[in-house]
Amino acid sequence: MNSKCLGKKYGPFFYKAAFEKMREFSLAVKDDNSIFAERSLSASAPYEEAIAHPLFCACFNQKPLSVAVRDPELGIDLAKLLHGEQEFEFHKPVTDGMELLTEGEIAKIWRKDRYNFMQIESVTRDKCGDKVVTGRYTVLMVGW
Amino acid sequence: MQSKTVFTIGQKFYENIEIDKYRPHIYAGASGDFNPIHIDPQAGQCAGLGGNILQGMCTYAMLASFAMRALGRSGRIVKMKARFKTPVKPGDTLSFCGEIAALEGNSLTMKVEVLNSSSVPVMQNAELEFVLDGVSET
Repeated sequence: MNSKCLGKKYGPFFYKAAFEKMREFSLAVKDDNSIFAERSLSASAPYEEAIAHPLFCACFNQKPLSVAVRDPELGIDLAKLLHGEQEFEFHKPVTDGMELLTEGEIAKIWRKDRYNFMQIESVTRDKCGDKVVTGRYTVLMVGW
Repeated sequence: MQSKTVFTIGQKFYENIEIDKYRPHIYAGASGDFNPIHIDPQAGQCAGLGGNILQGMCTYAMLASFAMRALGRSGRIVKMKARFKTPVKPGDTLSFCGEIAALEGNSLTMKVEVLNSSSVPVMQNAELEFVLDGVSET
């Protein structure tokens, strides 16, 4: 991995949340909680509108990572790439119709044993600029 | 008025989740992650994985769902982390074991162990932090 890419930014990437997609995601991860699938129950739970499963952020927050690992300047061999630790902070629920912007930055690049590590911090905000979710994705690549 | 939910440090929760043959495809459609190693057994073979594997974020989401169910939906996740250890394959049954590790005011931390059908850990250092509503400590 090219350590000169430390601090390189990716995005912003736009995503608009939609209720049917939110419901489809929760069912895909075998979560049939009606709070994610029924508008009326979401409203009483005690949110005022339908909310998404927290990990629905996979649909938009990891976009900077998926772009970065294909960045020729970074020099990642996808065949040697492994996922390491991932961390999320959920600042506010994603709701139907929410317009989201995600920007990511290479926060760390380091070496340990036979592995190159990289961490991307990806921040998604709503249209008011408020943080919705922060993701920290660590990937590792075998060899120098 | 809703009654308070009582939790205790050391309290444990268990759940098994079966990963059916089509789960990687269903998740791909929902998330947009169509990486061939997830949906094409041959691509998984070529990558040395012995077949297609479930998307890591799907396992991650199931971890969150397990913890939310365990706590009776009585709060919301504010933070979670975990390290991927072993790929999950279609046909696996994941065994989740969660334990309340910290409880202070309305803040609760749960540590979770996730094993596959061969009792091999698929995640390491899985930890979730919740803000709870209507909770009392014992």
